[in-house]
Amino acid sequence: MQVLVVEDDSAIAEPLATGLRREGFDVILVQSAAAALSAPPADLVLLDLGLPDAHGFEVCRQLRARSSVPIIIVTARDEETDRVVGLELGADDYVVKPFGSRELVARIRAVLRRSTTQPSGAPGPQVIGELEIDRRTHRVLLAGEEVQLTPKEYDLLALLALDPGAMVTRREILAEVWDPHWYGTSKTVDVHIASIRKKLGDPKWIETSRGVGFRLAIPQ
Amino acid sequence: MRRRLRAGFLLFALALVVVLEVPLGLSLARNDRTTYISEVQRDASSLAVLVAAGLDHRDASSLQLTVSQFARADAAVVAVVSAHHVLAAAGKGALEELNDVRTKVIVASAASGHISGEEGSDDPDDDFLYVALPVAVSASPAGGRSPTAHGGDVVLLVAEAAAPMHARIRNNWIALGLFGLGVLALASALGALLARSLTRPLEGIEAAVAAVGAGRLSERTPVARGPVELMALGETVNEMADRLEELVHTQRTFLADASHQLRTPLTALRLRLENLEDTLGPEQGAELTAALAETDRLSRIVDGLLTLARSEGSLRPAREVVDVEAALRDRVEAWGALAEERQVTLSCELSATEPHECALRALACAGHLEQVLDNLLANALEATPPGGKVSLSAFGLAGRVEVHVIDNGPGMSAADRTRAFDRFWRQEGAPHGGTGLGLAIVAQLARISGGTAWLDAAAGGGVDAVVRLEAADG
Repeated sequence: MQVLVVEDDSAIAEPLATGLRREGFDVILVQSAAAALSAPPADLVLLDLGLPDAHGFEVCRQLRARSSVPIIIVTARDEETDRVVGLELGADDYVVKPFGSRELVARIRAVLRRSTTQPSGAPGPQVIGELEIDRRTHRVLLAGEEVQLTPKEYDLLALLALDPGAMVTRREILAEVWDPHWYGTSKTVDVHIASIRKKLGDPKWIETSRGVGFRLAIPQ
Repeated sequence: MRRRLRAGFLLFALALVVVLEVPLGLSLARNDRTTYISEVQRDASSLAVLVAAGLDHRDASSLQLTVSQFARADAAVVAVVSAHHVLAAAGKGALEELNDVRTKVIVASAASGHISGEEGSDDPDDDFLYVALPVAVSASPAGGRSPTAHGGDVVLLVAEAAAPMHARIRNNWIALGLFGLGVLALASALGALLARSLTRPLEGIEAAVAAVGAGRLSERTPVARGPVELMALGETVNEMADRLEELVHTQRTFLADASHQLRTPLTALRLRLENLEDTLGPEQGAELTAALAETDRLSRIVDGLLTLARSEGSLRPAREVVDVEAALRDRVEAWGALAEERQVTLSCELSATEPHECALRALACAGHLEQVLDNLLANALEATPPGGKVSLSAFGLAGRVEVHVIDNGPGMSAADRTRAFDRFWRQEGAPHGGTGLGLAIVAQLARISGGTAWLDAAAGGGVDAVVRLEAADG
């Protein structure tokens, strides 16, 4: 599995490449838009928006124009409009710095799963034990019964379900699920976790690792 | 200002009209009176010649004829009177007039010389102008008889109705009044034009200032027209707006840069720490987890500081009407499950002690009340031991809406309750992992929304966190 990492800052690029190689990916590292556009085809592109020779959006547009390679945008910008523009230009996902490699790997796997198993573009529901998550309709079924979740609760559950069993930190959850301009507290996450647990009827669905984060688990 | 300018202009014109027209009117009236009386005098003098001739001939009937002809021609009352005797009289109601006390006085005074004037009465229609003069009877060739044979000096009285003169004077006043009104109308129109020429540029400046204040920083006022002073003011305002735009732009750029510059090394740090994960034993692994938790905390602090800086630097967003009741219910529902997990009772009282005057609606910026409540609820829940309770309440009072979040934890000292709003202040023994920015952000958001936030001691020993906002319905 080849991943093209387009990142001009070697302070990020190096540990990122190390982390991805450790997870079993082949990493091609480039540092400019020109290099990104002339690189050999990869299975996935990790694209930083702040490049020295062109805006990342332009690279995204050109890459998308010539292939359907999955693209994940990486940026330190947290403006809502950037997020929207990136996704409009054909990016498959959007990761805001600072992020951890676990979160990134979970996202890469999720994007790859979507692009390889559902070439028709109509992904089926993800099944985890009795839980079914349909990312297309934003519906969640538990043992065939629909669970009524608020949009934030759905986003949170969907984030945990990207990589069931993997730990997701509070900060990752806040960064992904909440508007970056929102300053609740990290308690906000606990609030929604508690609410999801209650709605799923069994607190064991979501395990808490005190001081670190949460993971989705199938209750035994 | 427009109305004031116009009123001032009008008042000035009114004063001018009064000062100029009143003396003019009075002088015109005096003139008219003199003209009318001199006319009567002229008539009386010529008649006196005829009367004298008549008296000389002692021809009573011709005297009467002369008098009657004159009276008809000039619509006047004419009488020739000796001391106690009317020798001839003609004209409307002549005899009644002559029995009038006033007439007698006039006749008596005229015996010694020519008099003239105007006599008024209760009814202005009866006013008359009169001339009374002694008739000189020459030493007559027909026997040297003197009029004294008739019992005294002979007086000719000619009286004419004053009504035509009054009408003329009145018409003069009306003409002056109409002219004055015309002048006032003109002044009012000119005043309006002047006011417009002054206020139009001001309105432009006002609109530009309001637009810049509301965040449309590129708005400017046109400075090409209007009085020089206002053009200068407009230019100054525009310069101020330029400067403001530049500052806000610099600040935004700084925030974007700071956010980028801080987040990039944080990401690098995190990625490198995570790469160590597989190479460490269980003991170092715990250290690594703690190190990762610290990077999380650092990220949170950066986010919090950026939130504070952003809300300080940006212009105040528009406030909207917020349904406080709905917000509270929503928060209680959201936090209910977590409170349950912690075995804390979360209750919500909406009309607790004070009867609320209206629906609980307050003015706040979008999302601020929710963020404030979340921060306060997080603190309250943290402070409350299992089995305790946290209660939310809200009431409206005198144009304000107050929201209380009360816990029954151990409480805080008065000094700590004040210091709690300082940035990075953390209570002694507080659980590790907080940023110390929560209440600073609460205070800031409340302030931006036009309200205040503070901590009180709760009756049960805990903390009563209060947020006061402006009520939406006055």
